[in-house]
Amino acid sequence: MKDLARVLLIVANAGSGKTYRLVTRCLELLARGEAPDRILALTFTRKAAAEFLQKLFGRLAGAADNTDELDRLRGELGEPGLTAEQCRAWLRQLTAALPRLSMGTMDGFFGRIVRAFPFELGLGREFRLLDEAGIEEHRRLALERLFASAAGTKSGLDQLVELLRQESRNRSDRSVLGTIESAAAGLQQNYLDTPRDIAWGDADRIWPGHDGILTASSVEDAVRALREEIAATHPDLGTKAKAQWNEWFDLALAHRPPRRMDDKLEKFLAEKLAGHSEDAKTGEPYVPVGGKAEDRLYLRGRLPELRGSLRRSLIKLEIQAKLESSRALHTLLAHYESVYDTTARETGALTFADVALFLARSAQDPWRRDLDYRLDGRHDHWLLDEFQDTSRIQWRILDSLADEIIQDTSGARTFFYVGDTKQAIYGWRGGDARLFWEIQSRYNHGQSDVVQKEELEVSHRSSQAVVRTVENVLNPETLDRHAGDFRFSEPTVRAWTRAWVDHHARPDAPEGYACLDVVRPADDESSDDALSGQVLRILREVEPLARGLDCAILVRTNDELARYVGILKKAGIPAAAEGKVNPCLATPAGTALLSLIRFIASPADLVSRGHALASPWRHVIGPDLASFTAAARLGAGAGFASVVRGWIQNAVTAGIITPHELDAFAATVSAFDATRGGAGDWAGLVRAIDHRTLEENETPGAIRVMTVHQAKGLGVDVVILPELGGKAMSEFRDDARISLHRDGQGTVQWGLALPRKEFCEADPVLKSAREEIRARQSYESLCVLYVAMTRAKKALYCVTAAGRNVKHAGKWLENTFPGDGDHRQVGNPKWFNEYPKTGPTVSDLRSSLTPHSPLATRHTPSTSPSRRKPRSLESIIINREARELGTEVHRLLAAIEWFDGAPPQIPGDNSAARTVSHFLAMPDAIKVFTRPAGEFLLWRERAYDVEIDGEIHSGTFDRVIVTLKDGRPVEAGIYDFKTEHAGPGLDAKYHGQLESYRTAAAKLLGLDLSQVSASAISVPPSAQKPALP
Amino acid sequence: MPVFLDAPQPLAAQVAARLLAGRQGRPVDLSDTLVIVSTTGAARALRAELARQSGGVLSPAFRLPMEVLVPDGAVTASPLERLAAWVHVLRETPRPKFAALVPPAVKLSAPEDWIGVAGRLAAVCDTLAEGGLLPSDERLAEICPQDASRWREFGKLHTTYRQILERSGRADPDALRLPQSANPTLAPHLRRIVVAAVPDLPVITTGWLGAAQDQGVAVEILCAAAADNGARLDSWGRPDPEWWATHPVQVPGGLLVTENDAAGEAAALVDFAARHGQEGFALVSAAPESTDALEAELARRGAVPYRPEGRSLAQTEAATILAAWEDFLRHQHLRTLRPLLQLPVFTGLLLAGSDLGANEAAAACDRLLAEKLCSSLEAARAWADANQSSEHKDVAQLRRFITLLDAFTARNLQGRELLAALYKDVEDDEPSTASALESLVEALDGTDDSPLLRDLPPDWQQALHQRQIEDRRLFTPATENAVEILGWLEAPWAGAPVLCLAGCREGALPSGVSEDAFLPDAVRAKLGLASQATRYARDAYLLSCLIRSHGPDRLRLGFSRFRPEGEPNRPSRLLFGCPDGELPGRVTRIFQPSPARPRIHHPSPAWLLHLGKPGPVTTIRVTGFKHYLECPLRFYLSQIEKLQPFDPDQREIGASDYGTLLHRVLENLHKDGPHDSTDEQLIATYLGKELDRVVARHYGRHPAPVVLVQTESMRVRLRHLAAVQAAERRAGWHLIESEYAVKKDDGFTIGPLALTGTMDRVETHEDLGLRVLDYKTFAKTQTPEDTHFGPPREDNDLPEAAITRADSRDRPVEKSWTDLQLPLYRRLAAKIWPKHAGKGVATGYILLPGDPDDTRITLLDLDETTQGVAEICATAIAERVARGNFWPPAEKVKYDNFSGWFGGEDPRRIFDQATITRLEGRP
Repeated sequence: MKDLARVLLIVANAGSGKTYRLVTRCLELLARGEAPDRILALTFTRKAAAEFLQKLFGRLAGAADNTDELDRLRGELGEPGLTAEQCRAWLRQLTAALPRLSMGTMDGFFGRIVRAFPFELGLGREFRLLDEAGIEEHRRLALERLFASAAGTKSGLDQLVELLRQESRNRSDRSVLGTIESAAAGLQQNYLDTPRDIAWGDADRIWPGHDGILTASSVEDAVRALREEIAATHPDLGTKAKAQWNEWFDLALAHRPPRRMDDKLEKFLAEKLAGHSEDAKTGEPYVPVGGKAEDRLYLRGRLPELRGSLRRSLIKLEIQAKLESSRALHTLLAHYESVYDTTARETGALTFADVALFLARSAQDPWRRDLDYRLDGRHDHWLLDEFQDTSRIQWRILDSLADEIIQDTSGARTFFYVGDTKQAIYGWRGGDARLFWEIQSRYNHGQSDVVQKEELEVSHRSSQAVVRTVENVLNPETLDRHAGDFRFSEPTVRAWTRAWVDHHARPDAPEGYACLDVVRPADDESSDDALSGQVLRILREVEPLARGLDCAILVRTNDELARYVGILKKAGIPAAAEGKVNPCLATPAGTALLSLIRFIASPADLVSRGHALASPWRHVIGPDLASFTAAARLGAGAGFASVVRGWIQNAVTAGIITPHELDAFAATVSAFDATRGGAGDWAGLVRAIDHRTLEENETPGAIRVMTVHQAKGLGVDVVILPELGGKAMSEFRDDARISLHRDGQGTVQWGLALPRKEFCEADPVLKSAREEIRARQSYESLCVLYVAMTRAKKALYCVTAAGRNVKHAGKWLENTFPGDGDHRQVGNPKWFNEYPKTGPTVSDLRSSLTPHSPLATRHTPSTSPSRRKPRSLESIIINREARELGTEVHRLLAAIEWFDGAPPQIPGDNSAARTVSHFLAMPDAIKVFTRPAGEFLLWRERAYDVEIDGEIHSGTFDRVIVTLKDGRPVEAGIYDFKTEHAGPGLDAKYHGQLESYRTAAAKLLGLDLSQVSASAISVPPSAQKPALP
Repeated sequence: MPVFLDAPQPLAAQVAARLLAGRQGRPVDLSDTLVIVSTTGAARALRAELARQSGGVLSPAFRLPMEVLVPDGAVTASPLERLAAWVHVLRETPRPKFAALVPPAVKLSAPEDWIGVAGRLAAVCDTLAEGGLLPSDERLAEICPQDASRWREFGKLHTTYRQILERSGRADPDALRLPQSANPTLAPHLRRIVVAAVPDLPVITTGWLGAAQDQGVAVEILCAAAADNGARLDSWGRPDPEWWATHPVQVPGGLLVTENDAAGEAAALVDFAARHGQEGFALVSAAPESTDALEAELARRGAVPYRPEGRSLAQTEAATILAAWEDFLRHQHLRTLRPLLQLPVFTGLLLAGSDLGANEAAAACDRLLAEKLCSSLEAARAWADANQSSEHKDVAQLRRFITLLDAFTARNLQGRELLAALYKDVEDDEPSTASALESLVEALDGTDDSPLLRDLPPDWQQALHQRQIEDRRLFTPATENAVEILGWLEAPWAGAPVLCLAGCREGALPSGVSEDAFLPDAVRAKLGLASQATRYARDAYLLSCLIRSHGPDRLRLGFSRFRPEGEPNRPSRLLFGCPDGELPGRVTRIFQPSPARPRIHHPSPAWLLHLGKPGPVTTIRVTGFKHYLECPLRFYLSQIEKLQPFDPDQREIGASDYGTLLHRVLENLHKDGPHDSTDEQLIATYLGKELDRVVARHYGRHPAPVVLVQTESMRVRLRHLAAVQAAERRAGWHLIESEYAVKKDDGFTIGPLALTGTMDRVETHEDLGLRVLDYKTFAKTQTPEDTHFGPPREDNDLPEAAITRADSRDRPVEKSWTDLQLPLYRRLAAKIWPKHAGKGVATGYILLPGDPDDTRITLLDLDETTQGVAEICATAIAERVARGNFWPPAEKVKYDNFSGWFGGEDPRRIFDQATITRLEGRP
């Protein structure tokens, strides 16, 4: 048996069998006799979680059934004696432990903790996870409340207006809700990452102990000093230059941040305060104004210093404005988050991010000691997958638990984490790849080697050609060689070098193919068109669908994705947008149906109305839209599904849509009914349909178009990369609005809406912060290229357009792809001939399930119809007292057997007692309660079940007197008490009911119907106290 | 000892036969018998079977296991009262006294917070009761030392809870059960108790049965026979967890139906039922998502699905109206009213006697919310007050709606009164409505009558009432041909020859009891409560019974690998019951995903949009040309068909209204403001006041908070405009017209069409002539040059739109007209004011952009040649419009109100040929 590293870090190249290794680790633990429920295996996506379980069970099943697989497993586990029986035993052990297995997503694990500790986490109410529609609804509600509370007072309103002004740097934007809503959505993660005692834009935190650029003098002082120095050093300065410098000074003095800088002033700042020319003869630096020598300002004396001083003064103003807007934004978000806490989180409406937030906030709480107790299990062995995507918040939750295990030297507990920091493309949602190495550094300090490292180099996914190409294009030497051209910073190169592990293909991997096509757009052609033209040529040559190969086009943005789907469709090539898709709106019939529902929800929406009526749905709607709408609303009183399904069915019958076309639509409506359906909430239904998304990653019979992020974790036979976006790889992207600066432990130290590059460079702190972010972003752009290229199993087609002077991924490929020229190849260009064409295969299993209509006869014994009499709705609602009286009167009457003399005294003084007492004095009562002569049976409040003509009749008799002769029934009288006044029509009114009783009694007693009588006995309500007899 | 029913008959038939055994003659009277059943469905099945076998029977009493412990006639607290009692306990007890139980982290402010905690505590009490425990039981702290302080606090609170109930003359049903367990109060006529195949009798019920036996009542334990005859059950018919854990049920592989998702699973199972269930089939579901999928699959095939577990009362129409209307009465939020206006029952009452239709009412409410930004009735009233004098049709309609709503609100209909009014004219034989009303009225009665609720403030009562409605299930009878979807525990009672069981996943079969905040699995067994092990044993036993009763050909067990939201399911352990040799194959089959199904169903080829024939067009607005230039089809839809978008979720002043408001203010500047002044401050003050007046007119005296904030942004823009206005006046410009309308009958034409439009601002200058300016409230600064000229068109459809323009270095550049507004104003102005126009006519924008520093006048550089080209282009467009030519459409436009129509498709490919022909202007 192999030694098992106690704490093991696996650095795994793409396609090198990360999941396989993870599963192997799990099997190694089983082989050591560890109980499966002691293993905690967490990953990020549901798909990966499913794959993990499938492989774990699948490999054991394979080994138990197949000697080759058993041999392989023996080798992998270092267990030469492993037998198929042993594998079966482990399978038994695993299946038995299924409910206790902690193998799933990180979100799922966090959800379990929250369910087990609701009170400790502050959740008094039941919690529910919000879907997209729910999140939007709660966000809007919070905004509404935020504004309402702010506008409650003049000062509150002023403060809000002022905050918005500061945040927008003095703009007076029309949309205010939009501003906060987008900040709330886009910056929530940053806000929550920031410790509560830290506000963004806090100068003391950015420049602790000094004020950085804020120490610059005032613009007035700087202008004055510079002006004097110019006068002193350049008494003969040309008139034009003097005038121009004065104009610039005036502009500088007039500039009032937070207003944005005037264009002229900006130019002055960049060109005249920063740049200079050199005298051709003397080499002396000067600042020109026009072309004349007399207008040159030579940088003499204190001029360079004072010029820099003015520049710093102006930049200071810009940075102050950024500080102010950052503070305002933070305050706005703090207000918003506080309201959102009350309106959503505290009511139990949570997102996955909230769940993590709750747990992270309580990471040190004492209740965490009881985790094992409440979760019914102790996890001694941790296996964490895709660790490079773990966020700081997630790690804060896991850290102390993990620490306990890593520090445990008993050997009974192990920690295993696997990842690939070359695939760290989720920085935008909080993933922080630095954690991957931080853990190693933290525990391996000094001489200790607590964390052992293993590298997985061999790709089990890609062909030789693809692997060779990846190795060529992205290895650290290549990066080092081209880093200068592409402005990759030293930290980026260093991080990539650290992350890099050499790539090798499996020796038996097919040769495969990789190529780069540099297309040159024709004169009348755009680069985009040239790129897509080449993509189409590739598809027509390779014909992947006809050969049974799956093929993906990987792009960067959703817009690109939609564009390629459109291009392919136009070219007659089946294409599917993958990733998050809305299955309801996959066909025009779905979009038009949504329009119809939109119109019903909101009759003022004429665009939707027009769409529905222009579409073939008009045949279902009929000539009268108003009647159709009214009928829809009426039908939906009890739920929407039956109404919508009815329309769909009609449309299928009319041949407007194909039978399964709107299955997903109908299912979404049903789900809405089941979970949120409130009668009449058509607007809610619209939201539910609008927000319905599926994570779709497998569309047979179509070219799959997806973003690189969606492709992560997938392997595809043929991958086409058309350029991967036009942005420079090392460009600073201000996509977060607020940049966070963290310390070595990842804790946020400060946050700021960073000013632009030239301004940042005037301050070392800001310059370094910006560089750090740029380094991280350019690192991520390398990761994106790496992920994109390594998805390819058999062939990789890279396409880029020549002529653009942008340092984007396409250009990188152009510079680094092996070979020369516009068409470079690695491997066999006709690789696809190994896969003969068999025609497009679209397997539609569901269509083979022919619907049976009508369904076979049903047989369900529990649905026996019990006879219900129609009830008056008014009586149900209004006659509550009457109903209660009826119940009580029946109870009192059922208690009476016979009069046997005087009527019994009825205890109590309520209206039921009075009613019964009053009734007992009436002749009808004497008839009913006088003991008959002879043999008889008496039934009081007796339930019965009788079968008549195949139907089951159930009911309860109030009172039945059965006359017996020789012990056998010969006659029966049924009395049904009615708490209403007698009248000539009482029996007639209840004829149906009485007949039903008669029939039942006759059947029960074996009598002829004529031998059974039934009458309604009036027990009129009495408000008066009965007269004493 | 339990009696195994092992005849080859359905379970219900065997139990009924057993109940009827020895009962000869007429009538068959079983009223001395109490039958304990596991579900109400089982009781229904048994009653029907008793009737069938006997022809007719005086029925035994049927009770669920926990029900038998509450003596008849006992005045127990209802669930609502128990909840209320817990709320009282929490409110009356100082927080520090239960800080371990409900830590300070739990914020208790809104009634719903307290009710939430109360509900959780009440639920724990019910669970404990099954083991014969109360929270005050000292064993709890002993068995759960980690939670000892919580249990001790819980125990103390529970004592208070019972006292509160007692004070109100109510008893806690759980507290009543405990003594009953040891010393039952039995009905005098009771002779026999039959436990009808209940495999999970709670500990407390077994105690009760034992005591009843001691009192001389015969107790019979009937059990369904399992596949393995040696299956071990205890003396109460409960499977022995230890035995079942080590004796897996053998499940033949042929029984398994494994699919990727619940929809596929449902389709496969219903397919099997339809093919093999000619003599009758039953559909059973163990998991909620499978029930949904089965329901959807049945509906898809045209069958009527029926879920006997009912649905939440809160989802019924009557409950929705009640809750929403009462909420509306309290807060008067119009958004609460929106769904009500979609319900004919409600609109029937609200609009009775009015000429306002349901669509109009719904649209009016939407407009008040999204256009007038009135979130409440009060705001709507204020808006109506401010617009009393307007005779505009739309305004009048909104006023009518508000008046109607006001009057209806004043009636203050609530509770039963509201329900009575709503359902007065509704058909009264509608069983589901009747059941809903009955249940609602019961709920209302509970709130009205109980002393426990009366002491609470109205909003607490309302919250409790709503909670009760949410907790209640509404059971409606199945319709004649409905296909029932049974729950798992009812499976043994489904007597159908063919049975399909869906949802065989862990957590559902067996159901899970993990992650319990109070009672983790580890302590459940010690406390005699249902645990993972007992649930597994129960379900293994029941599955074994099904396999025995149906055999391999008539039973199918469904499993789907993924939940609808994508979470992987764990297959039920029970599915792995097979000989060891088969296990690997079984595992592979269950875990290996099925091939993916195509998600994309190709749309029907017949799916094309069709538009009717447009009427003749005789006029065109100056602003319309921009739309035509952008896309003739969208121009047609928006300008000719008048299909205007409407966003009901808009919550702030939209771009169009924002501009309109500023226009109004500036229009008034000309009419009665200091437009001739050069005093910037004076103008700014006027504009500020005018803004407030206009805003009050549009949004009422109490506008929405967001309007107040947006008004401030308008004020900033106007303040900067005041400076421009004063400067321009000083420069000699004199405002002569504002919002000058050119109407159809004014006689201005362009090509064959009358030209109409509105000029925002017309000014004259002694030396410079005439100037026509348009106010623009762009977010980002755009000059007329930016808006009127774009890159050359890729198509050749409108050659007249081409123009050569000089760039910043005066080089000629090929461009295309993108708007013709300013040239057309110029042409109109020259004709309307010829006297002033003599010295020239300039046109341009007054920019009031987001960045107020950019507020300025910017003119369009327009020479006579360009003007001529513009007019040629405008004439060409007018001729096309007059001909009915609105084709071809642009593939994409910047802001597309019709994107929903096109769904990402090329608009040229989504219309039928007849429509295209018509839109091309061909006859």
